[in-house]
Amino acid sequence: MPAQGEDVAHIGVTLRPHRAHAAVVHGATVLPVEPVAPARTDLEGVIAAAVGVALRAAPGGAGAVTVDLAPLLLDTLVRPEAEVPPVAVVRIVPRAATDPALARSPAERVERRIARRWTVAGGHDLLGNELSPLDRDGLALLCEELAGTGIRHVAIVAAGSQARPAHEREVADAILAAVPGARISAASDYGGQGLVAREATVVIDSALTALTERVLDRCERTLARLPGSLELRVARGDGGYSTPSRIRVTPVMAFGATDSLELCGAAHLAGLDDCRVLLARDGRPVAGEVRHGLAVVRPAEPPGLGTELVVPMAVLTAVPEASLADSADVPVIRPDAPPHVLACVGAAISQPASWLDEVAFIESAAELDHVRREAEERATAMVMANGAAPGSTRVAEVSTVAVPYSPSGTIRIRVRVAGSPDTSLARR
Amino acid sequence: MTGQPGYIGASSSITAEDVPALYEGAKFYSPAVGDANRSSITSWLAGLLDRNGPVPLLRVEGVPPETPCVSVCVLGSGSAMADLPPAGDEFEMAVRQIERLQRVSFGAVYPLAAATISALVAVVTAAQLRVPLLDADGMGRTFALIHHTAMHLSGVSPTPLAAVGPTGESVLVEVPDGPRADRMLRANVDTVGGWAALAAYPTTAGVLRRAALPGTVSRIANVGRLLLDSTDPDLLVTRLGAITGCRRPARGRIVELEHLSRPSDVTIPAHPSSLVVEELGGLGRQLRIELRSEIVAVFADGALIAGAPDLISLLDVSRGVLATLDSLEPGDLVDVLVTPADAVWYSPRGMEMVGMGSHGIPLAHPRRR
Amino acid sequence: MKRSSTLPITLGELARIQPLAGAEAHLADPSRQVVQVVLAETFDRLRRCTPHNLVVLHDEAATGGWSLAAALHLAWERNLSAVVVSRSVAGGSSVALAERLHMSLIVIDDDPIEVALQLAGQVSAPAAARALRQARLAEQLAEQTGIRGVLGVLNRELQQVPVALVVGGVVIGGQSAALTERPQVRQIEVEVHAPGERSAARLVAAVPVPGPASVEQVESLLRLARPSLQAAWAQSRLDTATRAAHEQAAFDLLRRLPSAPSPADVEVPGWTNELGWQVGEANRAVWLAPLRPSGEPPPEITYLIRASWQRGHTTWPLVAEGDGWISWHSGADPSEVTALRRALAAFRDSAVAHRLVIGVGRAHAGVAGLMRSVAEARLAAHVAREEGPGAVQWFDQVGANAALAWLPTTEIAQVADLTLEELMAAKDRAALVQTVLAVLDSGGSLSQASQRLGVHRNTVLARLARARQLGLTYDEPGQRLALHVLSYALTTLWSDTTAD
Repeated sequence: MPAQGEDVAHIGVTLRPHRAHAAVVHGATVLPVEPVAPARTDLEGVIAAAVGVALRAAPGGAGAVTVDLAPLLLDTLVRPEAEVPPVAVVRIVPRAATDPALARSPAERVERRIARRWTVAGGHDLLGNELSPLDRDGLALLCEELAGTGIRHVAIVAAGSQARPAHEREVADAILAAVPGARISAASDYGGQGLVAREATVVIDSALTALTERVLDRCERTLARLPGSLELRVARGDGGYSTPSRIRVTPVMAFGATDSLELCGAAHLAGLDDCRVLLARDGRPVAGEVRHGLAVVRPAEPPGLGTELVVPMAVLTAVPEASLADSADVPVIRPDAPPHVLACVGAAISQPASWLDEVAFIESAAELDHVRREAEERATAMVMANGAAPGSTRVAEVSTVAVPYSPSGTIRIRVRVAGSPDTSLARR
Repeated sequence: MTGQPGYIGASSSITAEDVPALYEGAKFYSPAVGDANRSSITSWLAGLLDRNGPVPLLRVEGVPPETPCVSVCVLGSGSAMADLPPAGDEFEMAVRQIERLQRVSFGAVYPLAAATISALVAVVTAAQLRVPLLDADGMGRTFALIHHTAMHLSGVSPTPLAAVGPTGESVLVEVPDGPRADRMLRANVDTVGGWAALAAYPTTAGVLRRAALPGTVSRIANVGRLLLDSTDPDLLVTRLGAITGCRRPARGRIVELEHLSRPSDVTIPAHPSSLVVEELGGLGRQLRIELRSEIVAVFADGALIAGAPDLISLLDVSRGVLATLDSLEPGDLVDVLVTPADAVWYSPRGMEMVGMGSHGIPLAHPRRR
Repeated sequence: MKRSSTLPITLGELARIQPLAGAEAHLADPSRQVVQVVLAETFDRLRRCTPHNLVVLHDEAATGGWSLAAALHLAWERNLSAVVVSRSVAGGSSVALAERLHMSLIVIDDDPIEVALQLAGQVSAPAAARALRQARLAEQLAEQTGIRGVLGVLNRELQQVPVALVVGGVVIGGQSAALTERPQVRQIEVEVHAPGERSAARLVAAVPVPGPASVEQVESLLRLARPSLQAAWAQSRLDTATRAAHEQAAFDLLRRLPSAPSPADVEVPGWTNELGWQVGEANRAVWLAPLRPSGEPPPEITYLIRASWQRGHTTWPLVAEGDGWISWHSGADPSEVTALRRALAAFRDSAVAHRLVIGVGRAHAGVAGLMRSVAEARLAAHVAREEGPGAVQWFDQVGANAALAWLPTTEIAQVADLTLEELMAAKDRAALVQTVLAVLDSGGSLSQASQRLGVHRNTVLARLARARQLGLTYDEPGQRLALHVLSYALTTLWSDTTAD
């Protein structure tokens, strides 16, 4: 059991391509961590130094270490020479694309990681009606070819799998049978809207698996060597955190976490729950928002990626200084601390979180209530899987909107749930 | 004839570089759905323009009157199209079906609605067919049903029309009465995956000189350039005002999203919902914004201040971009923008077809009072 | 039928009877009149409404969302009295908008058509509606068993009309604002006491004119409350008599305790708690006594005194004792008298009305201390009598002078009649005696005495000379004490007589 209660400090770590940074947060106190020696700026050295700082700062030492993997993941994804295992993509749609642009991902950085593509006929509409039966002959052929390529990371996306994942599952089962040990990422695990965004999400997921495993192994080994019982947590794109075991199977959730963490860290340092935060990106001012202590996030296009993803992340917008003053009914803050300190603080204070984005069909107000409650319950179950203590969860945001130009009763429902850490979850 | 503010010229062409601006401008005229398929649609179109060359954009008067023309659009929901993207040949197939039926070869394509993805697929179709695109459309924005067009008001029939779904399946409709066509199509659209490529209103350029709304394609390109140029909401509103005549009656924070299982006309997709916004500054009024597939009315303290056929959109102030209706959340700070629609929609017949009455709001339009 | 009952009914009145009694009412102005009820199924119908109409929304006009917002705005434009709408249509933001527009909004659960029909009947026959209201009120009143409850019902029903129950000029329940005279307010009274009873209990209401309720209506409502009030009062007096007897017995027990061998060790018995009594570190007794003692006061008076004394201090005891009442305040800090001072100030009007004086003892610890404080309070009360009704005397400020209060002034006066015949026959005897007393009180200082009496020093000299002539030889040492006492007694007696 890790140490609990008020006398425990929390450590936030952000992993940059060439060095790691850490900060210790103990109550209202924030202590940036300097590694013991300039040579020890790797994650092991920085975490060890942070645990030392925490022990001096709080009687109970450190309770948890929350790691932001995002800068490392992004760097690996965008650097063409980075070693990333090749990914195979299986699209399940009624017809294969006839235009080359429609057959590939519009994002070059995503497409670069794809070694082979297959299209298998099948798929459902948004409400789960089958549009085309699954082409089992095509699937058998695919499995045969795939086994021959030696590719082990497979991303699967089927039209309508958010509503009915049957085709995705059948394809996944067939591939696992043909290529034992294949690592499969299926789009139905993420929900969301848009085949291209869903496909990019699972491709990145597949591409980052190996790296994520390696980094988390290193983190866990480091913590195991240190005194005390430290819980490892991994920051998510929405600024919350999840358990290392969850992130190992869904690494894309850790993608893009830094922006949310910087927003939350800045708000925490300013002592505000609701504010607009001005950050700098490439020397230009950008702004993001924090509401009720959580970064405002949506499924968005990470800068420089070229396509949207279906995992939520903070939206930073370029903002001319002039427009800030007059629209401000919430305070605007310009943090003094360097970005990596903000990110570390944001990581240290982050809460377990979950997010759900679905389409549903309703015929009455009562049914709407039912659908909403059901979605809230599922999101709550998810946040507990991500490390929240039972009973500590709260629905932070819920929005249901009619889907325009769809049959009357089609709604999009989004739920965001946050919770408090369940300290009994630590495994060591 | 142009009269349209910001109209850039009698004839021009659309290249791959124009695609981002076209996309943003098209979104301004129908900010219904999010950007889930923006990257795939824009890269599809840009790729086509690169391979097949720029698409000429011609004024209707610049085309010989006897030239056969056909309109195209996306029928159904943008969300469905994002989730089930086109294979790529749907629009071309739809046009070819009418060509075969009528034994003509179309010399130009025009958008049924120069707004949303429908504006872009018209360029796609022109590029695929290697014919010019007319700088005109039937709506000047988006309305719910396919007979809500200037052509219909001028007596041009939408049929024969062809709809091709992403499944490759197609429907050919011939009805004497325009409104019947929409009803026949809706059920089919759901079956083929929630959206379909529509080719309709086959006619001639001569008819379109009086029956279509001119200059609406170049207008969205101009609007799009503005939107890409700045994310400063105040600057945007001023500049958009100059081009489109839009004004900003209020700025406020969304406090409530209300869904009501109210009786709604089944022929109009998407059920009614309502948005409550607390005005910031000014009079601190309570705004109520009525949503169908588009925003159809804005009330300030219960008084109607804008309504269909006005084009009403919301600008996400903190991001400096248009807010799409499927992504609104309580807490968002929005500018309410009201842009007058084309004059034809304020005529008695236009109002009857697409005014607030068609959305179940039996109130006089603010322009009429 | 009275003319007033055919006046248009007000929104406030309608909201108090079915079908609106159970509705969620957000009334901007309950005194708004309702002249007609309109069931609006369309916005066209809504547009044709005339001012002071109450509109029930239905069908097209009640589709929710925009429609209620637009209806509220139209209602505001047309100066309607209120908008009634189904709950399924009204959200929190509609209520907020109604408040912004200062428009009354009533949210109902019943069928709008049925509600509209019922309301139409009520509005077209206001007399019947008012009768309905009275019947409902009578039911509510009948359910009340206490005075507080009865007055609560009245004050709730008559929102802008404060009502109080007054006995002998003292408010014993309800809102004392009913007694305040203000412009444009008419006070009406209804006698409450049962025939043959002495005390004059009255219900007093202050009716704003013009206001939501007519004077006649209020009066009839007050009459309606009379039987409940009489019953409640009789009951509470019965209860009070029982309680008074209980308390008297308990206090006697308590009094006997300190006579135990070591008074300091006396423990406070647990049963004092049951009575709500506290005996602690610092107990300060209060003695409430009639200015002119006339034997044990009747239970009725004890009831009234209790009601008035215990207002806001329900745990303070009130024990009838001899010709007065004992109470006390217990606390940890002997110097803490704020609560007591406040209570005394609040009680002053009642004290004057009932012609009481009040003595306050010092703070002492424990049961024995309490008894000592009671004795002190009693002494102080006697001194207070000098100053007339409502006077309060603190023992701390009286000290040994308290002894003077016990002088049998009447008997001493008889002695004076016999021994100082000349003086007693003199016309200016009071001034002479008063002057001698002042000089003796001042230890012989003429200037102090002249200051106290407010006369010139020479006048004092002249009076002294005359007093001496008449036999009041105050400066003979052997007689000084006797004459000092005699002067005191005569002054007290005469000032009492003139004060009466």
